[in-house]
Amino acid sequence: MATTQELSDFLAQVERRAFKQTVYAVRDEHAALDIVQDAMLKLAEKYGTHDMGEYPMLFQRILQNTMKDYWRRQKVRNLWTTLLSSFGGGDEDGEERDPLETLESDDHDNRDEPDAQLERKQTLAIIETALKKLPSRQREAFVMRYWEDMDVAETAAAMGCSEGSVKTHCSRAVHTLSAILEQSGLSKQGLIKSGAES
Amino acid sequence: MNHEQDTAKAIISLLDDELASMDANVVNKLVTARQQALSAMRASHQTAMADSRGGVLRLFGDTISSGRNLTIVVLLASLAFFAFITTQQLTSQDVIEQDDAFILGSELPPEAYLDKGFDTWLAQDSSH
Repeated sequence: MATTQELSDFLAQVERRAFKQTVYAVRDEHAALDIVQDAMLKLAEKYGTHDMGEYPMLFQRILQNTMKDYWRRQKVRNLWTTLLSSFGGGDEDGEERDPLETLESDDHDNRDEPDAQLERKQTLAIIETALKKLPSRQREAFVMRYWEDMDVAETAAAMGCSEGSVKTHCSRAVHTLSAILEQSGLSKQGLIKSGAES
Repeated sequence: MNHEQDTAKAIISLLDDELASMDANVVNKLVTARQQALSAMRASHQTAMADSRGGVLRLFGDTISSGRNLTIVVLLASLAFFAFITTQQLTSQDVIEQDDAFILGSELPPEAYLDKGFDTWLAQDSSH
């Protein structure tokens, strides 16, 4: 049975990655924060007393389910918005911000930084865009397997699929990412070099 | 496979690097969310403890409640028994009173009914 301190340590360790992972999936920082907060609360309330070793898998599962709930709500909301907007005029004030614009503005903030940092920032922007373009299952498998450092069995349990599927998703994700990055003019060697520098 | 893992590791390394320079506003919100989750865990833990304590009290409460119910049942049963006995006594009293009235109102003396040979004599007498 885990203590409050152990849960705190675990959440502190994963919260940033969870946030970024959610941003890649939902492409909205505010929604991502809400989703991560919900997932943290659910983990603490319902599974807080579980063994600490179960936390990564449980948290990922909760996070994925919370994202799915968000998409379901979005789907219903979009349906109503479409229906209502067909009766009224378009509401330009209610337009959602494009996350890519945010990403660009973040880049502009760093224009005074040295060239190397700027180059790394650009590489990162390309990677993030590529991650957002990945099919959701591939992205989930990639993030859990490589970023969360979960093994194949844990990833399979969190995703609710077989270990073979996890391996397939991971392999496809890496190939898709490599292809997208190459299309953006970033070679594998350059990528590995950037990764090593950081 | 190794090349695949190298690519993945390079990507992850860059992503990890970015985490360190995450927007302070987002980091603060995440810290707040974590604190809320921990508070929720503590509250949930306390509720569970209170429930378990409440369980013991509830057990006592149940015992007390069942004892009270038993008392009510015993009282009702006693009342019913008392009513039954009283009714029985009153009924038997009526029968005795009716018997006394019959004996006193009869033409024969009461001793005649106590004489065991009277019925035989009466039967013989009626046959003549």
